[in-house]
Amino acid sequence: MKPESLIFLYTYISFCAVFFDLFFIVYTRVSSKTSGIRRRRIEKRLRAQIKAVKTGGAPDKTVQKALVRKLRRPGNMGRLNECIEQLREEDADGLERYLATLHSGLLVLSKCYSKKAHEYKALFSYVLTNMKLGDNPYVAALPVTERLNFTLMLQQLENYLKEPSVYVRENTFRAIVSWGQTDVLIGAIYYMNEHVVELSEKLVSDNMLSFSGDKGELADRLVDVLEQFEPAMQCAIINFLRFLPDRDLGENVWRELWHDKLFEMLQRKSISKEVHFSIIRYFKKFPFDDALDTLTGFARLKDERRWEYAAIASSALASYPYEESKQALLVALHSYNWYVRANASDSLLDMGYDAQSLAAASNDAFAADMLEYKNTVRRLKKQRAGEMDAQHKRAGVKKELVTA
Amino acid sequence: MIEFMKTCLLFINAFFVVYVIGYSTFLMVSVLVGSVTLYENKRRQQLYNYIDHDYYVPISILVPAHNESVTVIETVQSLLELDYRLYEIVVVDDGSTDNTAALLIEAFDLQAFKRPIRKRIACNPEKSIYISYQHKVPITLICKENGGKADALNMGINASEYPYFICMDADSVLQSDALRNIVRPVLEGKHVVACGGLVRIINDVLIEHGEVLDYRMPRNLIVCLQILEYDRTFLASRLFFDKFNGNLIISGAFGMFKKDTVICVGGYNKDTIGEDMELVVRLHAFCRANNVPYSIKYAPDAICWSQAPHNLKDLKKQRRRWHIGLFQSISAHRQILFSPRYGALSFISFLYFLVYELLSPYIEVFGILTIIAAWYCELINVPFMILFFIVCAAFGAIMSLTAFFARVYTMNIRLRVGDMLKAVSLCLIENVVLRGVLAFTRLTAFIGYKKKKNRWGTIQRQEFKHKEENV
Repeated sequence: MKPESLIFLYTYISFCAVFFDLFFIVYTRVSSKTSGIRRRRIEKRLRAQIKAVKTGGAPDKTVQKALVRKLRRPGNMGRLNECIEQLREEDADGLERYLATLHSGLLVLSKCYSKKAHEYKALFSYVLTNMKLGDNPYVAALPVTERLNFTLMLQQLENYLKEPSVYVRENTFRAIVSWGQTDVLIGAIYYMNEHVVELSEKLVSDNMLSFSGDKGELADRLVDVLEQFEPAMQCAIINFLRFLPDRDLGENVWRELWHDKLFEMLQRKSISKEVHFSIIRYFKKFPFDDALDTLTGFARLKDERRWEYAAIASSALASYPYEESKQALLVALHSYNWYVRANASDSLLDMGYDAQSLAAASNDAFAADMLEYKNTVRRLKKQRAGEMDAQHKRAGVKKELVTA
Repeated sequence: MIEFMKTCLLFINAFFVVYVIGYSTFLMVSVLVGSVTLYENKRRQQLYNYIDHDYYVPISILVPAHNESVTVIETVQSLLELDYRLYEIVVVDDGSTDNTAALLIEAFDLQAFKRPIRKRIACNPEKSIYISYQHKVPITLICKENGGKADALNMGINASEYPYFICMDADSVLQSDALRNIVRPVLEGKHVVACGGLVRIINDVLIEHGEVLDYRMPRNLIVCLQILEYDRTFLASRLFFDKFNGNLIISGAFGMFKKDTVICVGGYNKDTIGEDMELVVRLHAFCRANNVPYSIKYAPDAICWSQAPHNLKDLKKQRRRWHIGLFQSISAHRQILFSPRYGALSFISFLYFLVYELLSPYIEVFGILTIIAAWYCELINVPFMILFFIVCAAFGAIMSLTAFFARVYTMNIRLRVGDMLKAVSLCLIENVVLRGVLAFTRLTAFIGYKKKKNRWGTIQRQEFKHKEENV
């Protein structure tokens, strides 16, 4: 290779880089302007269609088809999302009426986007969630044949759950959750389980907690089929049950009916230990007296390979203010595992026992240190809680004075 | 004799052709890959490809501090304004001789208390511990005997409650969304044991409540040059290395680690001055040697704003320290070089750092001496040589600019026209002058090595810019 070739090569690459920089600067400025123009065109079409449905008529089929054709382009799907947010503030009812008429269009789009790159699938799912079709009364009022399009669309969405991108899985799961139908969500969970779709337990349980349908019914049905799922999904479901407030259960769902099932799983060695841990945490928040012996047994474990059982059970026993709990916690307090000692200290103090008395009785410097530390932390947190209460009260009095 | 010299110079010439082609290729590929990655990230955001929950994993933020009274309060204040629900702040005062601890105690109403700390990693003992639950998250201050940054971080790891920790500097400010963004790779992929964030220069930038209110290129020339340098060498190369799990450095100013894995490898090494790089290299070595599936990621949208040295003296101290740290890390893990077990990490990342970072000052000085010898022997085409240098310098400058503009346009930074012109006019100076100065600094870094090998030196801190200064 001639040395001069190097100079030509680098000079050529340098010019390419300069042109690229300039091109991108110009492209960024121009594209934001053209994007605004395209967005206004979509908005104009939407407004015309909303006007048509509000007067009791049907949306213009030609405009509808043209709009769906445009929405095949991901850029336009993003612009549609912006229009939806704006129109929802101006005329939420009109928007809902119109979106209900998009059933066949959305089915077509769900198939179209299933062939696109993963980031566009995630976009489609996101926009679908934003449409809030699950809460749309005009969707529920549609004839069966038209509602079927939405059902088929949701089935198409399930396929998105297999995508390797976590954003597609998250946005799609959210879209399905937002639909508010228990059958649909359980179907999606089965699908994820069958195809070993990985989605963080926290993301799954958080999304389930934002389910817009009957959460009590969802919880009940999930408990019935709990053992059909893989351990990760079981943990996500149990965490969902744990964080689900009682007020969301509804009149016909009783949490206590789940306890026997969960307790039975806790006692079975074939169940994954992560599931066991989730169940123990559940029984901390919702005490089940039948589980007391099992929990105290775990707290007393000395096998270092099972320290997690001892640690989590020690924490759970704070909700079981009985003598058996105290005795088990006193054993755990002397464990040489840090976490077991820490959780046992916390639980004994939560149950109202005096740290100094316990420390004096224990004859164990590590236990005494831990008790003193946890006691100080509790005192400081209580002090803070007291100060917050006082602040709120002062703010409340101030508000009353102002309104008076 | 002349014939012998000619032959030698021929081989040396061939070596330098390969050297220059290698570096230029790496520069071009890393800037290209880095720019594409930034554009992809921006596109992802525009297409609503993001996860939006209140928190993902609980995190302990460790802030080692030694004589940081000028900036530590604002640093901790900025940490209280992060948009994340579950985290804690642990400040480790590493034997400060100023009033760092006293300022923190007063500012955050910390109370002394006795707390057992589980020392899973050896470190110097604590002298006193303070804590406050008065704020959004718990703040713990541990005052200990001086032992260096690595020792302070190890103490922080021992005291932390959560399974992930972030190490950051006490003269830095995190952007409000930094925690969300640095944790995201943990959700995206499996087995993420560490993730680095982007360190940007805060000098002359106005930040309030974790948001950038006003961004401009600094007035200080030396800081301006560093901004261009950071984008070319750090941003682009780390994004490139990220593609094949080949990042050897996570900046000590902002990095997230999985605690258990760091404890497995023994925590930070107190015997090196470049503890940040050494830990990451050790993580690679440990995981590969034990067939542990792992990945070390880089999140360019997890932003930490940190102070850059604003005078040449402090800049040289910093670069000297970095160079010694680099040498210590590479020599401690030299088994990685040319080892097929490490794959691209060995044959690209490690080789790059060895040749183009560690040895480059010596190679380049040797090159200059060779040119002089060749000129003396009338073996050199002077006009061609001058043209070649000009083209190489221009090439490097354009790559710097490409990386700079890629960052500006993908991170929604509103840049004034004046600042744009400043960047364009300074890129050549950065590539030639600053590079030359820093090459000389690195060349002389090992003078007095045995005496100064673990010495950090003091760098002058400046207060963060406030809104009132603009009025």
